[in-house]
Amino acid sequence: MTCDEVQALLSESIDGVDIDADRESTAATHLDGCAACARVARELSSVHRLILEARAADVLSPPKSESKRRPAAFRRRNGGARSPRSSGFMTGLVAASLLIAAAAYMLLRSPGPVERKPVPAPPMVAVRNALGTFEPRPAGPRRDVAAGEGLHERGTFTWKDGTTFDVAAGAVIDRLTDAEDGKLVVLTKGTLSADVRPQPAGRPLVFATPHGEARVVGTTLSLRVDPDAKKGTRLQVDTGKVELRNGAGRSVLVEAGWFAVAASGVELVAKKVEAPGWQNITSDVGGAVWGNGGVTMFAPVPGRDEILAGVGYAWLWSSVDGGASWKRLGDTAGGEPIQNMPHHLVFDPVNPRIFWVSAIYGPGLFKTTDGGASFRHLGALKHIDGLAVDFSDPMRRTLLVTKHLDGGGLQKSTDGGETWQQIGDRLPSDCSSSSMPVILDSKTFLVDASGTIGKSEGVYRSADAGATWTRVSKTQSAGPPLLASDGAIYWMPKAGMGSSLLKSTDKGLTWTPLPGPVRTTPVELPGGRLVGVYEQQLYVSSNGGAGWEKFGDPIPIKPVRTFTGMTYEMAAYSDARRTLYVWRGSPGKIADAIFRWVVPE
Amino acid sequence: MTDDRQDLLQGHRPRLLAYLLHLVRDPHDAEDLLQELSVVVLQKPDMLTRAGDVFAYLRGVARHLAAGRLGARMRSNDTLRRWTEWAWENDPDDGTTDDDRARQIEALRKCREKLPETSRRMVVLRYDRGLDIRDVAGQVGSTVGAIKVALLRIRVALARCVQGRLREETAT
Repeated sequence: MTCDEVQALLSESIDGVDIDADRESTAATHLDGCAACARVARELSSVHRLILEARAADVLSPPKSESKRRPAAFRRRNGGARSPRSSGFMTGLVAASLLIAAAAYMLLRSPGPVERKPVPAPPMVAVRNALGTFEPRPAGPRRDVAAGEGLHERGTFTWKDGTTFDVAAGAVIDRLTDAEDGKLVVLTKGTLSADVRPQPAGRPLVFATPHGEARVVGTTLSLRVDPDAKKGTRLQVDTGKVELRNGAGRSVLVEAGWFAVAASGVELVAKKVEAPGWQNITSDVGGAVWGNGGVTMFAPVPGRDEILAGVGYAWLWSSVDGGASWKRLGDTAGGEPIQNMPHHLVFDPVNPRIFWVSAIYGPGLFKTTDGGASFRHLGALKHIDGLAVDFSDPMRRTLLVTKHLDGGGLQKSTDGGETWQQIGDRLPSDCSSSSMPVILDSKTFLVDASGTIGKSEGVYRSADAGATWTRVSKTQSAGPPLLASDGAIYWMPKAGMGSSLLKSTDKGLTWTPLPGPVRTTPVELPGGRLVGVYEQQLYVSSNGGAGWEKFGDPIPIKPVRTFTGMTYEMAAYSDARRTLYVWRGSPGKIADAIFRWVVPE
Repeated sequence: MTDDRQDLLQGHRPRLLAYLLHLVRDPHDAEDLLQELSVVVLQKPDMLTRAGDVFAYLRGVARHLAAGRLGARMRSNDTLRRWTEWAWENDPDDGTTDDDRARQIEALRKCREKLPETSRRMVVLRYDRGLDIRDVAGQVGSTVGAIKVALLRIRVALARCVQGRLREETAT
């Protein structure tokens, strides 16, 4: 439900129109998470009440000609009614009538009996009671901006008190006002950066967005309204302090060098702003002693500001502060911690607190249902490389795993991992091992296989849940593939077995080699761009891997190949911090295994 | 009922009538219910002084009486009520004077006069005569959907106008 629809529904509700319970519930949920709509709701209620109180005042203190129409008993008791008692309406109206303009702006776009045409502001026109001036960029005449006016183009607005803010291209400021209880800027889309002069006591400058409000006394800051409503509004403070309030009414004080995000369903907390460039976040991951392999696995938790890292013979670790500190997972009494070499991790797409971890040189498969607080060892298999779960089955009963360096080691479970059936023997007899299974749906599986080069080695596909297999690529893949949001599959070649990243757009039936330099499996950024690693550089592709461009500064660590022949030099992306991570394995403990880099806006 | 209690009730009458108009829309129903409410309070005078928030207590009584009067015709939309009745639920005694309220009402009246003729008529039909949307549409010869949109726009326009007038007054 859009803001326009919610506000229309509110007005209908005020008018006593019966509203379908589902729509009402949807609107109420929207209002709980949308500060701008909540503000409009308060304003509609306030003006509705004022109209009714004006009417009530007329009724209770009518002209003589009207009083004859009213019941005698009422006239008797009315006896010179006092004017209405004190009310908080005025404050509410003055403070907030501003946001009503946002509603008006939206309504002007829809047809109706009351037609209003927006009047473009002529250049260089002096506006009575102007709030300040706006100078479009890169060029354009400077003009006065009146209270209630909006800004829909790139430029710099300067308030009369010297407060300035830069409006980025594509940003929409729906309204600017200066009322008794302070200034208001309604940012509905895009980014602005502000340098706010100290404001009078009790009259803060408020930046309102669809997801919350930032109250500023005097500071420099930047605000960004993400096009994706789930990502909300991001406030970053450069100097001073700003209070950010979300649609649910919770607030957090954001100090210089910190940021916070107001969005529905997102915890409102202040976080430290990432320093520019690559940052080493190896920190205390893995504890004092690492075993062989070093950091063998890394995974951002979907939808959460949490990253996980597996360290050889040193457990699985979690960081919820961007890697500044790490906590060992699986310590819960009675659990079965991962003490060998974590290898591959798969999150349940419905609930990322449920995930499976494979491990080699010891117990092979673990599952947690509490975000890693405790693990349970599934089945009796050991020494497992890759794993896949059939997420088309709500019960998650079908799993595939590949046993490490074990010919015919592809295994299938149909009871959630408790028991296993070997199905690798259905691959050609000269296939010596597989490292990574993939389940695309309940019937369609993929797996890589070592074998006779040019004869049996490559990628195999099954369309009958693993009963039979067909070779679909002569190049053997390695590691977990990227299943992109557009349905394409990207899979890196096994080290030394190919020089091109593979791509399939038909669920693995055919594979196309992509041009370099990226050869490792990429990660997908919001919006569909791909990012991959080659040597000490990130590359980005905006065309599905058809071409790559350098992305960001060189990576400060060199790639490392392990004894298995696979490079662990990989990238991962966390939307929670708009951050890319790279990591590498090592024979033992090193101080520079994991690095992060914030993706620019 | 002591004079103090009578005075307390009397002071709330305009606001109670406004709330009843919100609940039942029809001005005659609202006035009748205000009388009923006065009788109820007269019968239980102690409740008035025991209530922590007198206006909230009186609103509760008003809602109860309105529900009894209108039955199924009582406005529902309970989930959205905390938003549509926000102005009543958040009515702190924050020192706003009667004069302030009178200024707001006066500003509103002037703003109503400045509305286009059709809009002004819609406000009269909706608020002064207490018609529902369908009847307003019938009176002005428009569709129900258009009236819904128009009333939202009118409220928006009135709120902006009132705010502008109050600010101008403050500035001068």
